[in-house]
This record gives sequence, C-alpha cells and structure tokens, in this order.
Amino acid sequence: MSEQEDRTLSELYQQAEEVTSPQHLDDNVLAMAKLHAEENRAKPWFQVWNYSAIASACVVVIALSMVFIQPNTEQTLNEELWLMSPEGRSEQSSSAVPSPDAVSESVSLQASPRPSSEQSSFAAPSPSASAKAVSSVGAVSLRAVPASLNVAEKTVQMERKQEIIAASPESYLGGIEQLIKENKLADAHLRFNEFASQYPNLAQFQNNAYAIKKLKNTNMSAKHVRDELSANRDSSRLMGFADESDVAEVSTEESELSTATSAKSKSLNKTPEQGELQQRVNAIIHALSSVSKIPQ
Amino acid sequence: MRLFLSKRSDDSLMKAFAKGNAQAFNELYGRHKDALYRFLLRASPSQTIAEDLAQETWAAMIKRSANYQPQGYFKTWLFTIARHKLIDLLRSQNYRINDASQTENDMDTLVAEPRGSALSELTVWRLLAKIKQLPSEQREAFVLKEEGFSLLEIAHITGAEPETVKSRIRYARTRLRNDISISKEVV
Repeated sequence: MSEQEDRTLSELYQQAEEVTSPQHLDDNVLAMAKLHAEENRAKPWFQVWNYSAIASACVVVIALSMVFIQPNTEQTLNEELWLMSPEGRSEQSSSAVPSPDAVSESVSLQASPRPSSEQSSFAAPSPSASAKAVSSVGAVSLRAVPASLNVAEKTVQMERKQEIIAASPESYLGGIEQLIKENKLADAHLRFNEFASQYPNLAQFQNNAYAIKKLKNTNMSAKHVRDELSANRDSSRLMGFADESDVAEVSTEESELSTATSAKSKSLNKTPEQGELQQRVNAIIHALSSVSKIPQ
Repeated sequence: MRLFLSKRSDDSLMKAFAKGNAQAFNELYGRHKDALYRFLLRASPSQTIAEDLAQETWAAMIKRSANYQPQGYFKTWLFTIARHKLIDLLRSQNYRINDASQTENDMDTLVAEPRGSALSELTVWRLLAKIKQLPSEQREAFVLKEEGFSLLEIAHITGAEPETVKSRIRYARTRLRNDISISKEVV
C-alpha cells in the first residue's frame, strides 16, 4: 500500500517537473563561463614565460657558467711548468708555425751540451704527472684549492719553481729564451727575476751587463759627437762653439771610455767559470735590456 | 541558445572547460541546469532566491573548475555546492522554511500554470506546498531522491549516513501521504 502511495507521490512530483531554469539565468551563467574560459585558455609557451622568468633563467645560466668555467689554478701552474720543461718547449716549438729562426733555436737548444745527470734529474712534468708531483711535494692537493691563491699556495708554487730551477737551470733559461723569442718580455723578466733569486751569483751579470751597456752607450754618444764635430768643424769654429782643443778633449774622453769598456768587458768575460751558462745569461740580459729596463 | 548533448562524460567536459573550452561548459550546463534549478526551487523559500542560488552555484562551480578532481561524481559535487549555498543563505537570513505564512506567499511561484485535470493540478499544487513545509533534512532528501539520486549519493551530498537518509525519505513520504490524503478529504 505504501509503495503504491510512494509511486503516486513520485508521479505527482513528476507532473510538476516541467520547471526549467529561466533564460536570463542561463545567459548570465553562460556569459560567466565564456569569460572564465577565455581567461583560462591555454597560452603559448612564449606567453607563459614572462620576462621575469626569462631573466631569472639567464641569471641561473650565468651563475652556472661562472662556477664551471672558473680557471683551474692547478692546471695553469702545471701548464706553466710543462712549458718550462724541455719536452714542453720542444712540443711547443713543433706545434707552432715553423719559422726558420724557431727551428734553429730549438735545434741549438737540443744540441747544447748538457750533463746527463741534470737531464735525468729533471723529470719533464707532463700536466698529469706534474699534478701528482705537486700534490706529493706540497702535501696539499691543489685540486681543492680555490681560485684565489693564498699565501700557502704561493709558497708551494715558489718552492716548486725553485726545485725546477735548481734541477735544471739550463732548461729554465731555455724557457726564458723561448719567451724572449716569442717577444713575451714581461714574462721573461719575471722568470729571470726568479732565476736571479735562485742564483744570485749569476744575477750579478745583470748589473755587469748594465755597466757594459752604459759604457757602450757612452761610447756611441761620444762617437756621434766626434762625427758631428768632424763634419762641422769649420762651421763650429766660425761660430765659436768648438775649437781644436774641444775636439781633442772629446777624442780623449772617447778613447778613455773605449778603453774602460774593453777592460770591463774583458774582466767580465774572464769571470764565468760556468761557461756556457753565463753566456746564455748574458744573452738573456742583453735581450731584455735592449728592449726595456730589467725589473729589479 | 543552442545546447546539444554529446556522449562525453561530465568529467571530460569539466577537464576541457578547465583548459578554456567554453563549449564543454555549455554541454555540462545543458545536462544539469534544470535539475539543479528544480532542487533549489523546491528547497528554497522563493523563486528569486532559487535563481540567485542557482547562479551562485554555477559561479562557484566555474571558479573551482581548475581544481576539480574527476572521480565520476560531477552531479553529486554540483548539488553539494548548491546545498551549501542554500544552507549559508538560510543561516544568514534566518529563514524559517516551516513558516507556513511565507510558504503560502511563495506558493504561487512554484507552479506556473496548472495543467491536466483540475483535481490533479490541485493535488500537485498541494504536494509542492507540503514539500515546502517539510523539515529541511527530509525535504532535501525527498527532493534529491525524486531528482534521481541514489541513497549513497544523497548521503554524500547531505553529509549524512545512508540509513539516516533512508529514514528521512521515509518520514517525508509518510508525512506527504498523510497531508495529501487530508487534502483530498478536504477537497
């Protein structure tokens, strides 16, 4: 009975089911939905990526590049040591554009007499091998060294260079000669100063070379004055600027200076017991001093 | 307005609408607009309030469309929103659904034009009036049941246990049967 009455209730309810939502309600709701859909419509990636996102991405890329492309000080040091070694120099000269001078220089360096003990004592540091050597000598792995060298690192580096200079001064001088040949005079100056700090006895040639150069320059200037005077002797006399006595005085000074120069040169040339080593030092000093003043 | 229904599920239409497809919303709206409006019309004090509640319900649904989780219960979710809107409105304005005077005043808005026989029209009119006088829990359970929801769905919408919903529906029907029979006797 109750089920039938329930069906009757439902039928009565369904008879009133014709109610539909009003038109103005439909219009309002659909307008809202359309507006919302337009706002939510998927945008292309270049519109989603606004300027701030692009800028932040650029900053991240720059920061990462600075972290990963930071120069490795250990590698720089090892490459420097490798270039100073005979193998490094020979490899560099062979890889460079072969000019006749460079070939002859490398040949002369290779052919220069060198004690075999020195050759064997100086192990040519390849980049990988020298990294191991630096780690063992300095007791500190340079792989963990930050970009800025601190005092301890500089000390280790200096000790390493001194070891190389002491082990094979010829090869070190060869490196300096190579730098001079490549017209890298600033580096050559620095290397030579390091060499002079290790060998102060050889470094005195530097001062001697200055003395020789000064004497030679004086000699050249005196000669220049003499030539001028001899060329304009008559006009000088007429104008009262010079007479025979002046010319004679200049000639006397010139002869004195040339005598002193030759004596000094002879005395300097007599001193080297190291022979070839000092000659090479002299050549380096001459090459450096002929261009600019050697830094002390 | 041309609304055509497709065989796409409510969830897929909601997903398309969340991506900016307005046509998907048109289909969804066409499917559920009348049922929702009827529920609100039966449960709310007046037709004006029912229209406002329907618009607020659809606006809330549009706003939450981006966060909608497709679980196959779109209609239940929509009616839950509508019920919450109705409860908020009734609480804020302190409506008393069982107030007979107000119900009688709004009764003319419930049935637009009587159709069929005079006895049937009057009975329907009385039924809708008695539905308005039911307690709110029984009224919403009865209306939702008549709109085609199952006991579990009504329990989900109203937040009550299925047995409770079943009891509310039974009480509502008993009361309506008595009232209708009384009215028949009166008529």
